[in-house]
Amino acid sequence: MRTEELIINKMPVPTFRWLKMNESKIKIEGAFQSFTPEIEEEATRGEGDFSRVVSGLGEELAGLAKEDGCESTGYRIKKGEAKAPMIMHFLYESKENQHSSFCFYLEEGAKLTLFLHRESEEKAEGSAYLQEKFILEKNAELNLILVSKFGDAFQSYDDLSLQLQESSKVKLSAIHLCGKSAHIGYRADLLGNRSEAEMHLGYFLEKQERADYNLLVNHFGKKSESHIYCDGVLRGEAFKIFRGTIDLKHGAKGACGNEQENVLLMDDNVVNQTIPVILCDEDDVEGNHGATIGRLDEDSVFYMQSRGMDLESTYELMAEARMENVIHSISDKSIQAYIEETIRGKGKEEE
Amino acid sequence: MAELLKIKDLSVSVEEKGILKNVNLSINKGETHVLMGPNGAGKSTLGNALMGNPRYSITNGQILFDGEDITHEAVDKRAKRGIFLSFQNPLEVPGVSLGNFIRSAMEQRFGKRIRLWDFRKELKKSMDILGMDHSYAERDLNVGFSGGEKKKAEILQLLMLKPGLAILDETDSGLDVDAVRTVSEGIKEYQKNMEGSLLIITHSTRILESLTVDKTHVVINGVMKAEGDGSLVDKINNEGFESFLEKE
Amino acid sequence: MAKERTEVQDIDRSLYDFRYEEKDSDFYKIKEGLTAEIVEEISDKKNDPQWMRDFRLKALEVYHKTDIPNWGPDISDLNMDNIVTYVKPKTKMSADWEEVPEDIKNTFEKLGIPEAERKSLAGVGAQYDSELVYHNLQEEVAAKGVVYSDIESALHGPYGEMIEKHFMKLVPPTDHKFAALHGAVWSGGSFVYVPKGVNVEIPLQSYFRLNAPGAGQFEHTLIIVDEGAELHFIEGCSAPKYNVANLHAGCVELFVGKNAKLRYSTIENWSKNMYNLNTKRARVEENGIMEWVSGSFGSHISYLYPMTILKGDNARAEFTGVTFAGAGQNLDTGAKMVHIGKDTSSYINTRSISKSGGISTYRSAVVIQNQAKNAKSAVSCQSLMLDDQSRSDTVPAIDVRTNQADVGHEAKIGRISDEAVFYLMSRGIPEEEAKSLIVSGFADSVSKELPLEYAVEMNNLIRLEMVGAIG
Repeated sequence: MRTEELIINKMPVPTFRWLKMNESKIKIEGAFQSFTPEIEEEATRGEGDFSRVVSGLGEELAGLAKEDGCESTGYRIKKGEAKAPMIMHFLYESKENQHSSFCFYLEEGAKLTLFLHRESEEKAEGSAYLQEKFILEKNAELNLILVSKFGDAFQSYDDLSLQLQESSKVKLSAIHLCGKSAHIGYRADLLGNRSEAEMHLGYFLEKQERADYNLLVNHFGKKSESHIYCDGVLRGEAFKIFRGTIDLKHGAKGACGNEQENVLLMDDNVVNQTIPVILCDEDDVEGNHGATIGRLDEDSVFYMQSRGMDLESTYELMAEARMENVIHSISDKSIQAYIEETIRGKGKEEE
Repeated sequence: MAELLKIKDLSVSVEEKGILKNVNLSINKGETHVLMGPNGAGKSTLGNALMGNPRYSITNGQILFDGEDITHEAVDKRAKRGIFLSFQNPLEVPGVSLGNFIRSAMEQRFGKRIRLWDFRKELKKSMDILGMDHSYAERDLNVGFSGGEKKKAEILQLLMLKPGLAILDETDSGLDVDAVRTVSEGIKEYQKNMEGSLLIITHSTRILESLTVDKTHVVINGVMKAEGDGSLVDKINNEGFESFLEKE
Repeated sequence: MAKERTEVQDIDRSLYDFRYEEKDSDFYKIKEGLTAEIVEEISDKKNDPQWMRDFRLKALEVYHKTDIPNWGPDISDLNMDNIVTYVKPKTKMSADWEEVPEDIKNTFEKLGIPEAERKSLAGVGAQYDSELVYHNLQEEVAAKGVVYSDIESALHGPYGEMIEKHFMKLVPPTDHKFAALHGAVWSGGSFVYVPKGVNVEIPLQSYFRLNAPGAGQFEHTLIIVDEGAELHFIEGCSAPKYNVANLHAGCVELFVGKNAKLRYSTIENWSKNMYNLNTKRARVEENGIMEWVSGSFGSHISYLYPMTILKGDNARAEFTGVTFAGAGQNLDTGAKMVHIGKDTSSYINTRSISKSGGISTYRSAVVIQNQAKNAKSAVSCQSLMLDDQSRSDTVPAIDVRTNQADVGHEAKIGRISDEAVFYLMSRGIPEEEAKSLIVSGFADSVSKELPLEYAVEMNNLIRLEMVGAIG
């Protein structure tokens, strides 16, 4: 059986080696095999040149799946078309190296809402790799929702890359309820002027779950904008690393990149690593980063307690709030309701 | 009348700096008291100390509520006993709706589950008193609320939680005339129909115009300088705090 | 509103670039490149005790085994074999300014060192190339038991054992390649010991000047502030400009005892051919306070991230830094905070400015270990881009391993706000002056932490950069 050791989720610029945050090492044993999800409201198949859309996790891993003969399925949303929400449901089996790859080409002014629901049985062992590539032409709009929830022994790879032309927009809401380990590599190249990326990421880790994020937004276009919100909760002995890079390239006049990460640490044995990078090669830009990590601040606790909440319920409420916050960012109400009811098991209360 | 709150010789400091010195005050059930004083006199310190804000340390004295010593009691326990403090800058919590928050707080306060139907009915009634659009119940707690809306959301919580003692800290500051009027309506509702006691902390007198005041206390430089009935409010309204300052 | 940019001039370096023509014969120079023989020769010249001889050779081995960092600015142009590692001025160390040779003295006079001493310093050390040429401590301060001397003579004196116990224990040669190099060839620097409970009320200062072309400076600063003691130490660095690359790989080790307080201020203005690969580290015991104030203006390439290890409970550290990268400069600076003790707190506040193609990078690490309960850390770093030819990166890393912590981080990159310039101009201030004011204000958080003369020097550096000929 083939065993490959690979480096994924490499930081665009490395830093002190002793921190061991520059990249992640993974081991892939055996070959990748195609996995086909259930699809509702499937879009029209079509081709496009995705060779220049760079993988979020890293080309090495993507190349490995290709070597194993895993094909990618292409879709094309026609000019001006507004596609009804397309849903992909990945219910993985107890199996290693399940691979799926999809490419979406949105022509000028096309609109697509895509909901990716990835899960495994609670007892499932194995791994799954999902790669999605998107090209958005002028004025195209993509609404992308991803929810993944895996069993304690399941490993996942989540690779997303986006290329945005003039005035196109992507709005992403992604919730990770990890499993044994989740490697998440997202990349957006804002090539066109006034292109926009808004990302809401949420993670909720417990036990010994591990999440390994690498997010990169490259601003090439003038007045391009990115807004990244990352909200997370760590409990038990969970581990998380979040690498978030905003790269304001030379010539991206008037560009603006914002990133805010808030991590609530609920237990004493969690590990949180955060490295929010701003690279800036242009003066007429704005780059902002903020992070708050740790327990709730005194003022918040005092407010909640003054309304009768004890410390534990205050934390539960605030953890819940973070999750809700990401779900609220989803513009499609039916998907919102589906997540609340089906994934989170929050049925509508009797009135 | 039964004594609800008794403050005995209370001294409070913040970051090792003494703010309040030997303050005495008692409030009976159903009474409305006003605490006045210039900026920085220590008014808000008293409110925070009564609620148990850990930033404010009590260096001397005692706080009795319903006859029980709560001087060092945890904040949430005080809230469950029925002490309520309205905040000047209440917390914003994205992801928790105002309605859900109030319902959870009520369940904590009353120690029982509250049926959604009953809750909604009562919430709407209280929102109507405050002239709040019902859609606010679905909005995230204080997120994107204007100053006036935040104050109303605080009074809404007061009406829903029905505390025995409400401490209103500068609830009128930054509000326009109309907003002061609606907030006053809410406070009146609490006074009348819930027989609640009030400690209104303010440096202006606007909010007091339409309320009946039983007692007025004046604090200057952390010390209680004067005590009187409702007419003291009018005196301060006309003369300011200068006459109290001169006594020093 | 006029979009025109202020034409900013390169700093007038004439003050720092002047040098006296010296003949090579005036100096003792070790041949280029680095071998065990050279290291042993240094030991011979310095009359090193045996442990130090062994230490140097071990460090050299580590040096040869260790690779160059794969992160940070490119230093491939620095050819180690071309660095003359050791340059020894022909004079002996002096405690009387009058005895310092005329040319060296003139250099320092021009830099204002003795003048500064007369005004406001408790003691001054001046290093010229590899050796200290001048060291002086006020009598009152010495009477309190404060020791301030060069390391070489202290090694042979009553504090030899103390030095052996501390020397490169915080920064071991295995830390990185240049720490290993330092361990092998270190020369000069200062040893300061402040005994228990002694408060040195006025600052001590060391001034480093690298004058020989193609040379390296590897001074070692070891400061031990004992329990309850207090010290402010100021370090100033400069070098004239040559075409050959110079290397500065100094090492600063600071031990802050229980309830003690140390402030370490640096104004670095090396010439723009300098590779400044300096390592600074402090360890703080219970209730101790470490304060870093750092201004980085010079050098071609800098790698500088003072680390504070908050070992004792309730230990505190603050780092305040400003970095100004102009043409031909790549300044990679920041700080590291490691929280180990309970209730420890750290605060990093930095400002960086990039102009005329300069690159400034803010790089940091905040580590909260699991045992550091109730640790608090806050980082605020702001960068200002003065034109579109320059570059500014922010690479902060945070590693938190307990939930009983509060960590906050804020970073901002942008240019001078048009509104601010407009506001000042509407009050009658010319545009260039307005911009200069805004940049000074931007760096104000650092300059206000410095002693007056240094704050003035720093503001002058900024003004010169900003207003150029007008100022």
